[in-house]
Amino acid sequence: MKEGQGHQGRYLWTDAFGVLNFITLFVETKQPHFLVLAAILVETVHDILGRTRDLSARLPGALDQTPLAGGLRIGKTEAAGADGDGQYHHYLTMWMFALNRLSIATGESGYNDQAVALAKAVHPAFVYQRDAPFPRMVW
Amino acid sequence: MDLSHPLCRGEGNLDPINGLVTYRILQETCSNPSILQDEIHDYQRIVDQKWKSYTSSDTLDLGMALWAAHWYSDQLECATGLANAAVRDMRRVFHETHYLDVPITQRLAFREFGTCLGIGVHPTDDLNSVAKQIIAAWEEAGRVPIPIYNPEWESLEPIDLVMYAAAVCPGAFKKNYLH
Repeated sequence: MKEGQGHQGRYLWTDAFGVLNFITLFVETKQPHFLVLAAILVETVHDILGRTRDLSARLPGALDQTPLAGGLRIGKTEAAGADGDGQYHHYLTMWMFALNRLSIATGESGYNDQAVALAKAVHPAFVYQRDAPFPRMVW
Repeated sequence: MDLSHPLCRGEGNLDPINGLVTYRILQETCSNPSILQDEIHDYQRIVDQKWKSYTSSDTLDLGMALWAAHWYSDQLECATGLANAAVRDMRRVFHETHYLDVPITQRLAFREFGTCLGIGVHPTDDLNSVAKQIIAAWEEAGRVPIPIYNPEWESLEPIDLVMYAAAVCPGAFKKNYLH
């Protein structure tokens, strides 16, 4: 993406669609390099949106062994404000879905393991009153 | 941008069903068949409380609701109900209020490609033609597949293009596409 389109060229919703479209291209054309492109995109997203905006550190809660434990930034151009960078539940679930499909397309269970780790990490931040009859959510 | 506190207190219309569907898919792929059962239980309770009142007039919201629901529309009552509600509301938007008569300069391509994605994974005779009309309209307007430069919409080019691709060929978004 060009300057001004996502942060450092990345935007989580668009990139999730990118991974899924690469998988579709692989199935439709039988060309394995589309799966390589999907894998490179996944790694790039984790390296940028899984880190602070200056890329100096992983997001709080994440370690090298658990790189998605801090969630993933959306990739908004602005750091703060009404349209600022943060984490959206529906972007995160779309990314988990993309990792899951890549796991099935490649046969590599590690991608689904990453999706499960992300799912576990972000759930308590978005769902509250979990012990009540009806939990609530924030987005 | 970390997970320490919410930036927005509202509850997203589709977040609970997205959580329910996605977490179930992840768990079904995992060797541990109960790894996300607590989280799925949370989402199921929220969805059970909300799905009967689902309604929307937003093209992206309706499309993504139909996409999410199609994964379990043959297994879960809530997913069947949500899919039916999304189709019902799409008919209102496109057949009754004639949304497609709105000038294209007042519309956003990626939101409508969301509608096409939903219809693509959950085809319905009368809505399939709506999806074709949406795609044709944006192609004729020069927004896709190669966008005519428009400074007002430049920042939306990537999202428009990836969602156009998914609208034309939903592929990996669709249940039973990968084996």
